[in-house]
Amino acid sequence: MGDAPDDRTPMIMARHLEKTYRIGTHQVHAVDRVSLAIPRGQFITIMGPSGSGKSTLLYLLGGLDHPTAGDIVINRQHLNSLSSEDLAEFRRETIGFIFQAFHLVPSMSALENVALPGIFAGLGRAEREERAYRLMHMLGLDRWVDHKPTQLSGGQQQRVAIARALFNDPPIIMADEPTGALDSQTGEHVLRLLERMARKLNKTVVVVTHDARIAGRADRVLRLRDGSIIEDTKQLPAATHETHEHETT
Amino acid sequence: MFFELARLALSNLTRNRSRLIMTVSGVIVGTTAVMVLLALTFGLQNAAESGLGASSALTEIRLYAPPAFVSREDMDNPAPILDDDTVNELRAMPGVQAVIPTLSFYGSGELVSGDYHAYAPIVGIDAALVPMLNVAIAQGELSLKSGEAIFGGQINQYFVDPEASEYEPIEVDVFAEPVVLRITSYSDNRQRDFRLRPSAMLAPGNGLYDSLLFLPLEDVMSLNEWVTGERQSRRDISYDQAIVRTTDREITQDVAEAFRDLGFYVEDAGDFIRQLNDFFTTLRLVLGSIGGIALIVAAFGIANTMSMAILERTKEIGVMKAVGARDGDVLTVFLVEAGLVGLVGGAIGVLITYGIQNVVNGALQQAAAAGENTGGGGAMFFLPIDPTRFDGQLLAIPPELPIFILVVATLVGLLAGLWPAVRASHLLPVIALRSE
Ligand SMILES: Nc1ncnc2c1ncn2[C@@H]1O[C@H](COP(=O)(O)OP(=O)(O)OP(=O)(O)O)[C@@H](O)[C@H]1O
Ligand SMILES: [Mg+2]
Repeated sequence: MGDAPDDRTPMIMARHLEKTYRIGTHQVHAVDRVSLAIPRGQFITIMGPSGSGKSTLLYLLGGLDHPTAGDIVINRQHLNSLSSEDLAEFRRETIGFIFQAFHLVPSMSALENVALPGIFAGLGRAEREERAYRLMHMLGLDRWVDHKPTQLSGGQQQRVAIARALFNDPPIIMADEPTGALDSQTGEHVLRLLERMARKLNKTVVVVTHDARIAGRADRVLRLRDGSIIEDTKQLPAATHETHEHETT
Repeated sequence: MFFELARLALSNLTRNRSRLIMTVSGVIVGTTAVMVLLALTFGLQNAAESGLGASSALTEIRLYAPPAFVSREDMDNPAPILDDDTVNELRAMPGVQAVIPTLSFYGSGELVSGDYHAYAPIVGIDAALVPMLNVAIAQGELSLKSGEAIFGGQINQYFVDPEASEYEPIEVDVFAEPVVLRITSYSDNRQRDFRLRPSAMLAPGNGLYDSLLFLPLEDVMSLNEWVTGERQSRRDISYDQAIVRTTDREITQDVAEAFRDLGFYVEDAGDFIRQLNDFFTTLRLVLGSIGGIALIVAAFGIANTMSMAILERTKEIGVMKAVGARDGDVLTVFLVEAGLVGLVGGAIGVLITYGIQNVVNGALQQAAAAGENTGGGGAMFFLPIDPTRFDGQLLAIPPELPIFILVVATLVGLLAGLWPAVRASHLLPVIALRSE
């Protein structure tokens, strides 16, 4: 993880980010003045109690939601200034999403699910399926290519979802509680895949999780409460559970 | 790209089969209703037109030479003169079968038979051309010698008694009673009587001919000379009218147009055909709209199905957007889905209509055959038109009709799916993904 000159610009930058929901006269600050910078290749987890705004923050950073205020710059692109068309292209090229509930399309085979991003990237069928097959092979899913999501276990479904997230080879992977619906063994498997993406493929991996084990293996842990970052901990990549180097905003 | 999205739409379509079948059924009913009703109007129109085709009216054009003062008005564009040379030129024009020039009597022709009087326009015609008139005759035979006259089919019915206090048409048997033509000179109001010998009486119901009295051309020329005092030689005669017969009723309007371009005044049955077409266009609109109601109901079905599908697949829309789908991609997927429902329903509706056509026309042909055997088309008494004229084609499907139906059905699907699809395409991904 050397800091090559090109990598000095953070992959993800947010400044004074706010997301406020208005319910009647009541205001909910789901994300409240969050500023952060995430360098390329970092494996970062976001933790915090339920309702603290973790998912909201992740969706904002991934261009799936619009902030009420603040700026987001990702991979040198200023999201506020993007049209919905450009935003779609940004998501396609830059971010691979992984969700707690997998969100596979039930009518499609595993292979078609993995290849789905290719449709919107304008790839032909043969090329799409070939690339999808290679990814599934890499994730040990060869046998499940033709299975429908309902015919797969949770762990298998999540790996299919990971393959889909990798389809366009995006520099950033964002995962919202990727192990939340899995038992600890399959969760471990998924965690290793995420680690590998950061360590081997130099992808920036942002994981929202309640899982202390994931947090323990990440480069950095953000803690949220009531929409604000209350703790920002950097740790050594191969860290044990003792943390080093605290830093609180 | 579009192809890939369309394939996605196609595979989505088959996900909820029972709902698809019900939605498509609505479209099938709608398109079948529209198409059968339209096919009926085409069948009726064909019948009506073939009925007309039997009468000579549709191949006939009346041509008038512009009056002399018109020719004097515009020296650069002299109005045409209808002389023998011109007549021969007209005969050589494409689509023209026969040209029968006529010369009108300039005065008024008063017919007198005993105490009864009648008026009839008098038309001079070359005796050699009389057989070309090609009209049915009620009595006598189609020939014309000097002193003879061919009576239009209804002249005999409109004699009146000038002394009578009340107007009452009286029928005179022109073959039995002596008929005299009384003409009056322009200059001194002298009157002169000619005895007319009827050679033929045309069958009534021939429209233009019903009130005419045909005399030999030379007789009309001398009558004209007598009333005007001006002599006209047979060689440089100029006619004022001509009866033109075309080779085919389809071409009549074109020929009439060509004559108009030459500067003649023209009357043809085109107006009548146009009215007939207008009538059937209106009929088509009315019946099509009635069938269209079923199609509108089907459209609501499609709209409902699409709204349901989008509700069910909200998360999927979120996923598609998360992996890079543009608003337009989502719109395309759902629009194609809705359009396909319309297209598939329309296609099945078209097939069913062809089936109905076979059954109905087959039954009609059988009934007609049975009717002929028993001596009359009595089986079809409930139809306003003689069934023998249908040629066994009560439902007629012109080749454009199925294409039209397919286009309309697809458009109905697209329109019905437009609003749900637009809504789906504008969904914010985060909202779609968080929906339950
Ligand atoms: N569409 C919305 N309308 C109103 N409030 C919302 C909406 N979405 C999220 N919130 C509120 O924003 C806050 C943060 O929600 P968020 O889902 O980001 O929490 P979280 O940290 O991901 O929680 P969990 O761990 O349970 O997933 C919550 O109080 C939630 O109620
Ligand atoms: Mg959450």
